[in-house]
Amino acid sequence: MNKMPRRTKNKLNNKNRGTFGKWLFMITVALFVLFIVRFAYIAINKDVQHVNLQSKAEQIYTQRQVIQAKRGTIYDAEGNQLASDTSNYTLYAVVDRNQRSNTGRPLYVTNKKKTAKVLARYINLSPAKIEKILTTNRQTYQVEFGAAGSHLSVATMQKIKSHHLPGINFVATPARQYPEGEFASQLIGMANPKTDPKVPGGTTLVGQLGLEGYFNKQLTGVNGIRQDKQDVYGYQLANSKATMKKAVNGDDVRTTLDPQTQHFLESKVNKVYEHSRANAMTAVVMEAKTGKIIAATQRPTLRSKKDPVWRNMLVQDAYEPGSTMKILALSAAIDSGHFDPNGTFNSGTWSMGGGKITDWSSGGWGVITYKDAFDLSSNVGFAHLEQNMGADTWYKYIKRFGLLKKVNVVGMGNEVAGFTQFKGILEQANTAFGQGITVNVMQMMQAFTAVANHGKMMRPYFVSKVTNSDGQVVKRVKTTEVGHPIKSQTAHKVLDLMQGVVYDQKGLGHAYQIKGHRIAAKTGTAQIGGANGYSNGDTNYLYSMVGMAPAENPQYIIYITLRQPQNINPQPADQIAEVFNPTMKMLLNRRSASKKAAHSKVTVPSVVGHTSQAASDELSARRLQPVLIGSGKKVKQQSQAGGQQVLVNQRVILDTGGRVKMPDLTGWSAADVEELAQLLHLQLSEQGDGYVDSQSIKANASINKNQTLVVKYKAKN
Amino acid sequence: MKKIKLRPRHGLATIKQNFHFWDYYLMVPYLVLCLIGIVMVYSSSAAIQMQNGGTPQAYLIKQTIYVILGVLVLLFCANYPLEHYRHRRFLEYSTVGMGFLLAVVLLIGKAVNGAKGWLNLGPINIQPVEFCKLYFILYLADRMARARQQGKHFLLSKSSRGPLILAAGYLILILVQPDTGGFAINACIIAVMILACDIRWGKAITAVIGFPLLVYFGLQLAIINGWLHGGYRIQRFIAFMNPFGNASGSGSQLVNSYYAISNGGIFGVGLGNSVQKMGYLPEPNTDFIMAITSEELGLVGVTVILVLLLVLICRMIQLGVKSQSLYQSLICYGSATFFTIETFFNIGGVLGLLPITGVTFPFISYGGSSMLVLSATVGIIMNISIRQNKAQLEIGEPFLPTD
Repeated sequence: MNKMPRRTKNKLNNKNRGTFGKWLFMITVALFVLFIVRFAYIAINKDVQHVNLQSKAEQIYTQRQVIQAKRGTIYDAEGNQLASDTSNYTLYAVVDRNQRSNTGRPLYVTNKKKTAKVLARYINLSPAKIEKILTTNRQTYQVEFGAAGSHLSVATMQKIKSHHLPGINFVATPARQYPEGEFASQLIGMANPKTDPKVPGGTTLVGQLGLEGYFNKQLTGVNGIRQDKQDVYGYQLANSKATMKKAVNGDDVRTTLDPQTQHFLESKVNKVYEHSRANAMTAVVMEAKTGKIIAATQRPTLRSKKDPVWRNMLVQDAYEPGSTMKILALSAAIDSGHFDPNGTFNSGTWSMGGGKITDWSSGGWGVITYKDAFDLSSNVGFAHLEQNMGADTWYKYIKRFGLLKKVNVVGMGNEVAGFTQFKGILEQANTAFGQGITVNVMQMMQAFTAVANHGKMMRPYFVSKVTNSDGQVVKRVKTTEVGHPIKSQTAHKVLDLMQGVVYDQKGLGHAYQIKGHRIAAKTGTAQIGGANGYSNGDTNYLYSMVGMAPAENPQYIIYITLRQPQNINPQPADQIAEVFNPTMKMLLNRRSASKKAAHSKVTVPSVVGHTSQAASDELSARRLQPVLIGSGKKVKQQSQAGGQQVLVNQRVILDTGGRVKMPDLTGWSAADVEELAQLLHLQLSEQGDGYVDSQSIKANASINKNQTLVVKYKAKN
Repeated sequence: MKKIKLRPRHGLATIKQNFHFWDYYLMVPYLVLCLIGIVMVYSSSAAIQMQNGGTPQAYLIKQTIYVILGVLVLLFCANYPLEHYRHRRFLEYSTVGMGFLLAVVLLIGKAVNGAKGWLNLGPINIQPVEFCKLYFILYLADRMARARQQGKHFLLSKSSRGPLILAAGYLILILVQPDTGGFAINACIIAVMILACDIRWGKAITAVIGFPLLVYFGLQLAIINGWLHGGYRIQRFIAFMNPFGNASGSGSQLVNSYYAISNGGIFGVGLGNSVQKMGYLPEPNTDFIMAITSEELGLVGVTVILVLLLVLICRMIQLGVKSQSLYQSLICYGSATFFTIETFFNIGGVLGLLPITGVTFPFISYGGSSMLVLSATVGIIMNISIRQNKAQLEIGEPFLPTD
């Protein structure tokens, strides 16, 4: 090349350069064509490396927000909340110094010392420790405080918030509160927050045990979903529509539990359970005529500090009931015509079926009547009764009383049906006094209703209704008659004999006498069967007792079981009486009081315009208390309008106008005082509960309008 | 057709005369692209600006100022006598200045996305690597043309050593910034200019096709076998090969770029309606402005932009082919390479054809340094075009726009 003349060489170079330019031109055009083709491929095909770009992008933009359905509330019979929704709060602190509001206000922790000092007052961490947590490297956005900063109550959260600490925030998680604590806790159950990563919205309350578990689905409701497309900053995209599925709040459950009785029962049971150091204890209070459970409890509960029990013993525990079963055997014998109260037998022991039946007093009482057999709870006597009526008849009655079959109480799940081999005459005879057959508490309660209710057997229930979030009743539990195992006559005879247990000289149930009321009862002391036969020792029995009152026509049945008390001083029967007697007494007194109240209503006459004397006489004649105020001669207004139904001895304030003087309020009820204040235009300030103990305006003092009257109440003894 | 008499003029009169020889194949695409750029910068940056607490018009105003400055620079470069670019002192000063800037940026440069590419000069940040591209074109074109005038191959001549060592030094400075994109573009410009100057076809084609393939397969092999790990450059390459596997990390940009293009389809979702610019796609107004453009204006809009740019580049190549001067040809080829490679690296990243290198798209992406350098380059090409037109008029083959 070097030998070529320069001019030629230049020319050649120019040509080469031109060729190079053409190549460059073609490569450039090819590249740009490649770009456009690639753009077109992505834009039209919307698929790269087998990924559908369109649907993938939609997924990224779409934000699903779960609207938590409120879990339904569980109420007692009077509408008090037994279980309701609340929130727990987890504390976190923003420490990123870039976080500011639109107006430039800092949204991070500005004063670590002060923040730590305030927080330490509410959470279980020292100020120094909190300050250490708050001091982090620059990259951190927020910090949390572990267990100490989580599960905070609404009250704590609000208190911390009231300090307006910048950067201190909370995350709410659903939680359940049980305002009444141990109140029938086993029947109500418990709901705990559970985080399910598969369910959008994360944490939901899941009910376990009791109503919380049984009605979990109804109580939970259905979460709503709000779905829309958002940009990274959380704003809804233009041209996109949000779709919304409303949350359906959970149903409410109303129980039949009477708060007064339940609280009463809980406190009594607690006392006995602690004293006896029993292994377990149950107590159920039921309306005899309807099967409505008004109080029920067990020990231990799921809230017990030591060894909590996660089952409802009332239906989930099968046990050998012991001698309370004799009520049913007696009923069967009477009903089938095999009971002669004056017939006699030899008590003590009876060898039969290759074994021996022994009375609790192994020496026995010699020859006694069958009536005595019930009073003394003679096993031998009942073995005879069973033999007399025959195993088939007895088994028929066992079935008719609903044993060995689930009761299916609404709201009590996982029931065990009970079991008996019922083979061989010894075992068949055993079942007549409650051994060799297992039952649950609800089966026994159901069977007892037949005795208490003229032979009609009622299914126990403790849920009265389930209402949805709109207030519509979706389930109503009605009084249900589930059978008629015995004749009405039989029932009355059995009740008579049950009174004998309490009042006969020989009866074993003297502890259950309640002054002023007639009680029918039966006790039981059952051996506890296990895999290795029956356990021995005085503390290894299941003591039980069923009582009905009033005996002539029972309104209430109380059934108590006490399993393996360690302390048998006083006797288990007496310990049980400490629960039974006051509870039954309270129920009966309350009943008669309300019965009386129903009978003691009178109609208020209209006495406006009458002279004060005539008006007073007229009210007195109707067993109402007139209270005259004012100096006029004729009644201008009266506190209870004419024609109104009021209770006997109700105060009726008569205003005669003129100078009004303060009456003596001692012993007045709050309702009466309020009437007076309204009538005289007084400002009322009340303290305490019960009946008036002192008043700020003295009796017979003149009263001015809008004067303030301070009244202190005190409970009557 | 209007006949124009060519008389030697001086000063402003020359400039006025030059307008008669104005190259509209350069000017029209240039202006249209600049205007589209202003619109797209505004559209893609407004939302992010608001989110960051600024005014939505901040980038719009800045980009408009850059375009006005760019046009002024273009006018200056187009009319500044071409000989002056080859002036020894000019080249020496710019060599020293460029080296100084590149060294300074390494020491005190402002880091953006891991690269210390920016030099903070009070109110504005400048990117020396952008200026380096034009510097290489002017400097090497001069050196090569001088070598060839002595009848020697540039690479074989002794005079090539100095410039080559210098260029290599500057390239290393860029590479360690680290600015892979800037390095690659500058290296490509140099390579193409050397090839254009010293034609050896076998080597040329091997170099143009073989080298990138070798690098690509080499890297792929290395990554699959796990020879390389760590480092954000490797991460980018991994993300490029399997973006969906790393969609929440290093592949996020490419994946979101795909979504933007897919959203746009053929006709786009309409100007201003991009979803991806609302925080999903980072750098919507610079590196990924073409993805946002594709989303808002669709395949149609993107094609228009690419065709306009292609016209501009092809016109440069055409001018290079037509030119009788090696110096001018090399400038044209170098500039065309500059534009093409810059486009390729940007679009390649957007389309998943290349790893993401953080290169802007000519005229459309936001950026002052880039706009000024691109405008200056177009201005110099314009200068060459005007000279050719004048020369052809002298020869008697006037190339004049028809009215």
